[in-house]
Amino acid sequence: MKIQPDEISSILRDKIKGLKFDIDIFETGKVVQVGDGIARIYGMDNVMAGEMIKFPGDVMGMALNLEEDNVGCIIFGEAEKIKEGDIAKRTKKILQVPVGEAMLGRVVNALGEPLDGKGEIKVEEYHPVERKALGVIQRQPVKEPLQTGLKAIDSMIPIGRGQRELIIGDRQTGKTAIAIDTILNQKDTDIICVYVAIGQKKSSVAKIVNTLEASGAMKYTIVVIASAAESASLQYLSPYSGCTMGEYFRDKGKHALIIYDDLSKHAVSYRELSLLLRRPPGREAYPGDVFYLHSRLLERASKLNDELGGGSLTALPIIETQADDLTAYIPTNVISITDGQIFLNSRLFHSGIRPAINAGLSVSRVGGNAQLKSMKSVTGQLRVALAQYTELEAFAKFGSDLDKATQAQITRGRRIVEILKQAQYSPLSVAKQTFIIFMANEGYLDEIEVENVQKFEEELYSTLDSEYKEFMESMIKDKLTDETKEAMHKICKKVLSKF
Amino acid sequence: MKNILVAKRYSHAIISGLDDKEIKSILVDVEIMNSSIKTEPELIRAVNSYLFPANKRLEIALSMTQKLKNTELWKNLFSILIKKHRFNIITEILQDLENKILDKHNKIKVGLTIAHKLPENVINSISLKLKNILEKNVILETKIDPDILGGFVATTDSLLIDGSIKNNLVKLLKVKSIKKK
Repeated sequence: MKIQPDEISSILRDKIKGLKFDIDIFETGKVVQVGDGIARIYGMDNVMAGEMIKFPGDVMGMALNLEEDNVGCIIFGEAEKIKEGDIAKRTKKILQVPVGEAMLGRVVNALGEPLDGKGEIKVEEYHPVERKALGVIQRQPVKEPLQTGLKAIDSMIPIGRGQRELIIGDRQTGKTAIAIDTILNQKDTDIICVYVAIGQKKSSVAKIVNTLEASGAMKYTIVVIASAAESASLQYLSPYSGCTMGEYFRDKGKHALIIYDDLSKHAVSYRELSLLLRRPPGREAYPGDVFYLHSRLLERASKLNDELGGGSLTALPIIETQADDLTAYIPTNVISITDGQIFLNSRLFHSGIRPAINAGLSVSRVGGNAQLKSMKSVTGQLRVALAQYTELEAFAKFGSDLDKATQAQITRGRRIVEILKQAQYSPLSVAKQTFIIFMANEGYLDEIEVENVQKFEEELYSTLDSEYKEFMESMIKDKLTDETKEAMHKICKKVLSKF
Repeated sequence: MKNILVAKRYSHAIISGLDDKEIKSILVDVEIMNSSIKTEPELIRAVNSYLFPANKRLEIALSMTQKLKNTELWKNLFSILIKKHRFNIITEILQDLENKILDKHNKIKVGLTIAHKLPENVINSISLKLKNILEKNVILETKIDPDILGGFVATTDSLLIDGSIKNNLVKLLKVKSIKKK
């Protein structure tokens, strides 16, 4: 077939005739200064705070400082592409990130762009990263438990869905391990997890992602990364992006858990940005609004009322302390914002108590209401016994010089400390947790040598799994009745006789 | 480019408190200075250079003011700029002064980029369209750039009006790629 050039031109002409050419009007400004992930723009008189700014080369930024004669803007992406004198355009949009089911199982950056090489994420919705936290009317008190699978936490510092529980401690005390264990424990639950890594090494995050992949936890998890190699602006943005992704599920009536690992680095990145934007420094050179930085983020975690679907967003922020100092600026700020804290102690960690939770300094202010009744009926005694042991610990070295009652308390305390130890990546069901705590409270473990307690625990769990599966399921449904306790006593005696 | 911010403050100081007549005479001075800077761009570098003594530099700068109407004002400005080693921002000061004065007279300078030379009537219709958009009388500074393929791109200090074929094609491409997804 021969195609005539005239024919082609007539076809093209017809096509072009149908096209409507528009005139676009952009409000613009000129880049007067650029560097360190910050740009100063001259012009743009009507720009909104938090508005996205478009730079040449499709680099995006966000207006943060609206000054008399210029706009301070943080840059997301390759700042090298921007030069002095470039034209920056207003977009009239607040920064948005993709949200939806398609995000599950993906590793993304602070802008929601995929980093896992699994291709494009096909989402239908984009939500603004900065959203006002819900009001009082839209919320309801925390009432459902969120199980971490860790005996020490679920028994003594219970977390409820919609709660904000801080994990705080020095470096290398197992803060991230608690967070990851909590994610792993949500495997057969209806909870969706968002893990936000802020200012971490890429190798550490890769390890975490591998762990989640290997245990099948990525199916219900979104990982948001703003690594140490990323600009301060992306590190600043990442928790808000993660929160928006979590909020999507909460607003759909589902339950979500978000982990901010960690907010100390987030505060540092915000300090960097603020100083570069020439905002006045305050205590420890942090800007004056560093409290608001975290309070507005953590306030977004909530339990919705039933009319709004009853969804929840639970937040587990992490804070790294220096030399166990809880009184530093950022730790005190976040402690006061959250509904409790899990304090990890380096001394406990090095003495082999892992998770290294300091029960005395850890607290859950609202989680008690959400704790399962069966668990609640055994934890009161546990707390008392542990507190008594902590007080008497110093006298333990006197051994036989002590009276019988004190010796008994020390013996019980040692076993309790032993059962609260738990290996990493091995979350435990509530029923098993309740059972072992019951045994410790009732003194069944007192006869076992401390060194053998963990071995006994393992045997107990395998027996419970193989022989008492149905009983274990029914046991946790309500408060431990006398009948249930009787049955538990029988099982305890049986298992002990075998050991 | 940081100079723009400083220049803006200087131009604001010059123009504030002047009446219409004085402002008009300033505009004439600005035009004269702009043309002399255009013909002798080395002048700014020389006046701002530490290679010459300050009094010599002031002398060179003052030679520019001889033809101007508001000699005293310019003398003061130049001596301040030389003292503060900021004579290099004179172009920005003049530009901002010009923009401010034009704005007072409801006029605006617009940089118009077109792909190829257009007939007078087309330019006039573009000018009219821009006048409607900007709600000001426009002074066009036309530039030819074949990169935009067709249509026009108009720029002011704070606006970019893009009616180019290139922009429309880019948009079309984006729409097509979204539809494909």
